[in-house]
Amino acid sequence: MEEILKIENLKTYFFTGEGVGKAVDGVSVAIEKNKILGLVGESGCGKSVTALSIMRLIPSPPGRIVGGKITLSGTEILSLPEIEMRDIRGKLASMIFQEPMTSLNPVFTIGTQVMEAVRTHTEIGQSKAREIAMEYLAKVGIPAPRERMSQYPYQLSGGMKQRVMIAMALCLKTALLNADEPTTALDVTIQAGILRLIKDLQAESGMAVLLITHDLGVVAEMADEVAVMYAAKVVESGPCETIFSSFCHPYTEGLFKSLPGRTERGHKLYTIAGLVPSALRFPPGCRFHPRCPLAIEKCRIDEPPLVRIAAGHRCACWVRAGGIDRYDA
Amino acid sequence: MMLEVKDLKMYFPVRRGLLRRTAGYVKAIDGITFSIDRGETLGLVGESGCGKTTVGKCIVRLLRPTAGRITFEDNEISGLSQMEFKEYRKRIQIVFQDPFGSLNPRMTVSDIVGEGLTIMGERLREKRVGELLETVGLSESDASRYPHEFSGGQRQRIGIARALAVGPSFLVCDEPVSALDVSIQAQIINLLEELQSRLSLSLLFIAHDLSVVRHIANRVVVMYVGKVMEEASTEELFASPLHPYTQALFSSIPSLDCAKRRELNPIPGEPPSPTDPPPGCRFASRCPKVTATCREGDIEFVEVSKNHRVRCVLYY
Repeated sequence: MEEILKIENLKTYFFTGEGVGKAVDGVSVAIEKNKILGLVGESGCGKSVTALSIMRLIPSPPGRIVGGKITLSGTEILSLPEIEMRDIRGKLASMIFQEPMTSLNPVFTIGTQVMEAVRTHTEIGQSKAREIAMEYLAKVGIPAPRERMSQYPYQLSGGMKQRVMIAMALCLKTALLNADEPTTALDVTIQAGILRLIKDLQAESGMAVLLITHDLGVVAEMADEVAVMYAAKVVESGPCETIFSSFCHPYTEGLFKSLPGRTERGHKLYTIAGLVPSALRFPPGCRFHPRCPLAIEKCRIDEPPLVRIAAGHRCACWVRAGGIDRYDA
Repeated sequence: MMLEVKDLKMYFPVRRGLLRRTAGYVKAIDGITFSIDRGETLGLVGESGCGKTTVGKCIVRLLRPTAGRITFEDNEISGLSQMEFKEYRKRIQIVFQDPFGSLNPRMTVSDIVGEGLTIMGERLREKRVGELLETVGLSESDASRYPHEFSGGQRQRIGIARALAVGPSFLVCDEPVSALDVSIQAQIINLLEELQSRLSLSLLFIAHDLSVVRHIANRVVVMYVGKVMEEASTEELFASPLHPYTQALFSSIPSLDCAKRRELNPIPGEPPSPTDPPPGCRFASRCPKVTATCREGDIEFVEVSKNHRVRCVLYY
């Protein structure tokens, strides 16, 4: 299968007055054509920074990509000059941002903003661009797109704004779509529509999708592969079915067990003790050890490598995965 | 009966033009009736804009309802003046959704939690604040710190301590966990359940996350554009939702099982505007089972079984 995105050992650090914040610290993932990778984890684990690194939109200073390789459809993008990177955005990769309320410019009409995306990245003229913009607004389920084109963001509901963002990201037909919490701010009914839309458009164009979310239900519904992040690292990855049926890492287990839907009524919900560590001061050894019920002495000293435990299934845990590849690729 | 809400209405005037003339009303809640028993948790669910938060605000008198009656422990409280209502502020409290916006950043935790306890005098107040912080899983030493020093989950604990300070018997929880991460969400839900049984509280739990409501509530009320569409015990509602809206709502929730993936079925169209709701059933324009009678007159709230009521012509 054709690999659209390959991230190898990505390190994105933020250099602040208080020290170095390691937002992404050695992440490797890959997505094939026509596949969806679900990137899961709690706030601050580095999911969004990973997506921003792919788009090379890390605010600098204070942020900087300090190591690793990102390959998009065979092109290594981290060494490209900014001017060429502008071409990559919109041609090879596009992004749906998390906040529909603040990601649209309030002083331009919807039409202008969608058309800008088309005209910046292609040679298409004004009238053709207008047609494309309208076509995609209709595709994402915005009623009366002709009228909506001349409206401003404040005249649209949250769900509509999110759909406009999606239209902007999709109208360029890029090989990779980064969707950063595309449905987090929305109601389940609108969420269902948007997830369906992403799937339909994917079936049409074969794009690869990096779906970032903290909602395990969305992942279960959408993803082919799953990578679980904790404290700037991937702690477990594998096919969706495998992760949901036979997870290995104690953190993944904790995430699943703390969901209210999986616990019987009247029973206490499982909780992961403690707090997420600050990116400025990760604990030594396994970053999860202070909160882990299984932690042994080794966990406090050595960092566990992400090792293969079954076909396509990797896990970074001394206790559960042992630290040695048990399966040859 | 702890709390009874009868035919509650809250209309917000829409003012237009130079003279700010009232051009119409946003009917945020348009005739809501429900009741909560002592020690019970009632879940109130619905999409954003359906009026669920407005219901909560009317109960704690952050809003004065346009019409309808609210009865608390057999006393009518909706007609009381602000002074007369003061007595009830001690018994009815609220926990807000946004743990970042609902705490004053310039007040210390001790001032926030102890604001309602000024009458106790400095020494007693300090002691009580310390106790409250321990109750919600923080420590006494946190009292002198400011909100920005805490994480989202800890802030929500501060909000809960503030609500408990005056010793209420009824708590409105307005989306108390929707801004939190899964593992933190579980901690707060456990805390609320524990406090409920320890302090024998009655809860109105407002949420859009159905799995949370399913876990915590004894009974659930489903709202759509200012009206109650269905009410049932939690088991009954999740086992057999009757209203087409409830069914559509449930089928839009992603299942937590990769292997049993099914097609998501989004509800077509958008909800009607609460300024000018259509006659008849408010869900008619999007309903897959719509009939001719749906668009005429008021739809009755009918009792289908002992614990199950629904507002839909299919069950007449």
